[in-house]
Amino acid sequence: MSSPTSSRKLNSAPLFTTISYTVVSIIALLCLLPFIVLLAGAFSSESSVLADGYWFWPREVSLEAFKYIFRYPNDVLSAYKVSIIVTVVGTVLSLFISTMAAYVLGRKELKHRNKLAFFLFFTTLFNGGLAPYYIWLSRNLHLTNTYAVLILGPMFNVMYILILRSFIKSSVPEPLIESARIDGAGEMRIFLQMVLSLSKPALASIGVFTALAYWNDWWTAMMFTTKDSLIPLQYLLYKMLSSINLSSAMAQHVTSLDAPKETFKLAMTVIATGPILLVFPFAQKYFVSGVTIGAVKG
Amino acid sequence: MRRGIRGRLWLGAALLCMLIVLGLTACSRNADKQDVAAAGSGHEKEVKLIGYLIGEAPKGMPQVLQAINDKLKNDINATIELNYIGWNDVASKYPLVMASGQDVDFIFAADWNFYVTEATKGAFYPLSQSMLEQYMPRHMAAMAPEALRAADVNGTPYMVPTSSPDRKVNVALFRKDVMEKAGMTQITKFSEIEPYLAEIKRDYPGMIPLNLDSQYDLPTPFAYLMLEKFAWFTAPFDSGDPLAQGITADMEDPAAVMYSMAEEPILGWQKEAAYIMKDWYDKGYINKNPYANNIRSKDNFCNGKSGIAFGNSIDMMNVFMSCKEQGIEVYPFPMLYPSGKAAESSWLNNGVAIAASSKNPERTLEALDLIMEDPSYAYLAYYGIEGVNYTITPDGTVGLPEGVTSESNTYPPDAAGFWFVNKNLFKPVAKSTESYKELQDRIQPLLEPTPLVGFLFNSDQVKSEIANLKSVSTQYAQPIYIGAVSDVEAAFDTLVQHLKKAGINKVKAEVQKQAAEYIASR
Amino acid sequence: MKDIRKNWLLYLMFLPVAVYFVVFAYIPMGGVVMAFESYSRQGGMFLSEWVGFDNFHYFFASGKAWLVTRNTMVYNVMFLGCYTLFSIVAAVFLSEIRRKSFKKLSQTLMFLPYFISWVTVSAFVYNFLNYEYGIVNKLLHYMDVQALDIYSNTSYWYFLLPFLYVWKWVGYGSILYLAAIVGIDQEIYEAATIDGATRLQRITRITLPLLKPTMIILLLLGLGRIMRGEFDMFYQLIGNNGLLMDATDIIDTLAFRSLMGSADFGMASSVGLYQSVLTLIIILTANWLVRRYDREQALF
Repeated sequence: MSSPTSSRKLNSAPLFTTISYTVVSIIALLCLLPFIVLLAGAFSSESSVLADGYWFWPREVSLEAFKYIFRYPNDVLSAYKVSIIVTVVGTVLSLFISTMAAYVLGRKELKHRNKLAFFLFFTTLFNGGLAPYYIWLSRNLHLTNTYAVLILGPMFNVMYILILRSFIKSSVPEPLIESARIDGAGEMRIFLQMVLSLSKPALASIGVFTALAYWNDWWTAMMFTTKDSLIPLQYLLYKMLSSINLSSAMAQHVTSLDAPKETFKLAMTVIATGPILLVFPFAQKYFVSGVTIGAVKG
Repeated sequence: MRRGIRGRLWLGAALLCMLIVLGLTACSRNADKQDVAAAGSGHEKEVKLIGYLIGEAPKGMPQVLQAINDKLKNDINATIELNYIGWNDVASKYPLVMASGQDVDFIFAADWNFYVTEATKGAFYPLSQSMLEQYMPRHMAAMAPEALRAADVNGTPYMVPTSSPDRKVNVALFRKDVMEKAGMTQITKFSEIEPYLAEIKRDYPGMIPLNLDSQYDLPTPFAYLMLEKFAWFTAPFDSGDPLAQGITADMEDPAAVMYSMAEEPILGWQKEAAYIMKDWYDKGYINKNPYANNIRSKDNFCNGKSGIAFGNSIDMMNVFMSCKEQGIEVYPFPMLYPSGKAAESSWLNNGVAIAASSKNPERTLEALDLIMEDPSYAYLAYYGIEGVNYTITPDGTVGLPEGVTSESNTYPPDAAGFWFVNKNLFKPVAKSTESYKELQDRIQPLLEPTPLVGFLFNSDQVKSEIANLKSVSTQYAQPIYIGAVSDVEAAFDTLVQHLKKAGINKVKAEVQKQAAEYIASR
Repeated sequence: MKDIRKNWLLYLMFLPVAVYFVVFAYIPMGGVVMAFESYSRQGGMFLSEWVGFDNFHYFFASGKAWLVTRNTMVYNVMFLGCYTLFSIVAAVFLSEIRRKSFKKLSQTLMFLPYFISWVTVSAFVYNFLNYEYGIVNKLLHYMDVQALDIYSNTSYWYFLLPFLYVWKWVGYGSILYLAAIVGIDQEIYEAATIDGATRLQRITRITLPLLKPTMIILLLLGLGRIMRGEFDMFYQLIGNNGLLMDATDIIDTLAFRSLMGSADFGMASSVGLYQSVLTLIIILTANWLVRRYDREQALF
């Protein structure tokens, strides 16, 4: 850091670059290692995992766990379909409506904006518990066994709305909105054309989180569906796990002597994670590339 | 122009919102309300009965259900629709389904599955002897009269117990090869198995003599030791949780005197057992962390990771078979009372209840009568479709049809949750090992009725005390069960002190009162 | 009123969310009355027998109410602190990395643990740390070091629990902070560079101060979960291990242990209500403090 005037030299400050790469690599490795063990376990035979525990590569390669999961491929395919529909539709709706609300909450001219924020926030502090929620949704709203409940149940997360609010406040400067207003743009147009495009990094990250919440949600399905055609992937896997665990105290004739229990958990994680890992890089583009856009603009 | 754009955008957004709202309301199915006309005594009007069972529907369910419904339609002009509550969700979902007042006609019920709680909360339809005789004649003929009386809650039965309660005992399996090396030919007392444990520790690296899991096995060796002292019902009456301390009695005592486990003589027996467990734990015969281990010893037995397997004479059948495949000879040791007997299972360990909200209780009972007692229905419900899911072999056993393996069978026996059908109607199962059959023959005559077997404790008055007994037990009693305490006396002092604070004496008084009423009513 | 008439469009844009929360949160909230009732089917949610504070009795009579309340708060504060710190560190370093492929890859990797459920994590931890054949003890054995009995010793868990928590969530948290960094105007950095700021100075003087609003809001939101949460983690990792319990028992695990199998709605809601009230107090205090310091940063 001898010559502070040259920005090129600064950007290539070797010590600092080394530190950055090392720290990030260490964290990434710590996160990756268990996943390798997990992959190895998923492709191992149940007996070798039971006998020797987990390891970094399969000690006895076997597709037993995957075969078990794909015993009835149509179930898995239908579950993928449900999960994808719910995730895509839910994320789009949720993100659009959440952003709209978040934008409203950040507008200074609204006198009651803090009250509205509190109105939302309060729901995270207090809830009536499971029983009233279940009874209200199933008995009064008749939402059991519908796509609607899978989409509406986990739809909004107050935390994300409030995060979006602060992102929008910081990335869409007030004067910009003012000048657009003076130019005669309506609220809707300001929102659709300016706010949405200026807060892309935030939308990308909250979008990922929302999609993940939908993708990982098995609880709503567990509570509110009994029809096979409405079972999302995570719930299907959860059900398989619970039938493997089936307390055989009850079962006189448990048929498969060694259903793969340990490796099943691992294979399940692989299957549920796979699709998201494929989609993740697309969203990532937005929250990684912001820097370069900025640099080019400068 | 500008106005035009603005209008369009606004219109677009409004449309989007409307679409959302419309879409969501359209998605939400209008509950198809059926007519609520009261069902007459006849079968003129077709009804659909909605049932809830525990577990998961087997793959072949639609075909089997179709077959059952065809018959039901013919016989009593009814069809059934089945829903399942998964094993993991029973605790949360079962009470909710009952509380929400959804359309439910019948639901699986058992004393281990909230029967008393739900019955006292008014979730089940009150039954009566005469009603059952009218609508379930076959079942009433097949079921022992005590069974229905056992189901009384405040004088009214709320469930229909099975007519074939399980006949099983708890069993521990030892390996014959290890016994031979240790110079043992038979095992008469659990407290005398130390040479067996020591032999494993010495010559079988990788095998843990007692490789316990966190749920089932954890209190089991301790329970075997306790059973050498008195006829212990391995779970206290108040909570019914085998891991908890509470109120117990000598099961063979006709007067059914109640003791708290925090007082003599039980406390002294507990201490004796605890010293033995501590000795074994300190010598390394027990895995250090049963709490974190989720694999039951019976699943680790044939692969050589556990020296002893714990289970009962029904769920261990598989272990007998897979050990035989591995060439391991097993020695079964049943868990018996000091008298050499064992208690019959409760009448209520499998059964079915009618929901209080049922609109057709009579027809439901009629349908259940057929399913539980008519062999053609019972085979369907329990084994599936003949020729597809099972077959009767020429020598008169139930086996699998040609080309179907137990893996590929779409309707495995027992898996559909119809556990309450009369299993005495069925022919014996084809596959089983010799030593398993021997065990079965040996234990059947040992099962005896005990004075308290049907005693159902209603915890309403002492529910907060029981909640605290349970949490105190987890913290202070479980380490004692596995022997992981440094000082047995001190551990018991702490435990007893906490149990008293949690109100064990109040619970004892309540159990005493209810047990006396129960004994008097018999 | 005038405000509403003037900005009706903005209020209309907020309407869908408002309707949702009324239907899915506020109406079921009426069910808190169940905490004061002995629920029966005949009485239903609102007309069951009123029992006052009876349902709260077991929790306070357990003698552990204070212990678990303290544990819950201490662990959550620890989790929140470590999580925030490591998320910011990861985000800042990620933003300093210029090679895009490396950045993308490492960020994806950091996200992996998010997908591993606590059930699976606990299987991992058991396989790594158990006394008899855990990988760690096997390695120690080769090195002739005494084996560690981690599952009977509380001191390891004070480190392990926050470590696992951070490990699972750091990828998630860093995304939010990275998005905030990306949103910072590049011209500020360029101006600073021209003025001769070193990289470290740019981080401490520009990036970190500008992350403050995001951090405050995330911390405040995190505080909202301070009395609950992470039941799954504690339950799967520790379970019913009596030897670790005084150090690892939280409100949710105590309630779960006591009520498992009793199906009592009243007693179950009473603990929830207790947690809600405490949270409300904490949040209102925190928000009040933030407001005093900077009105714009407050949540409401």
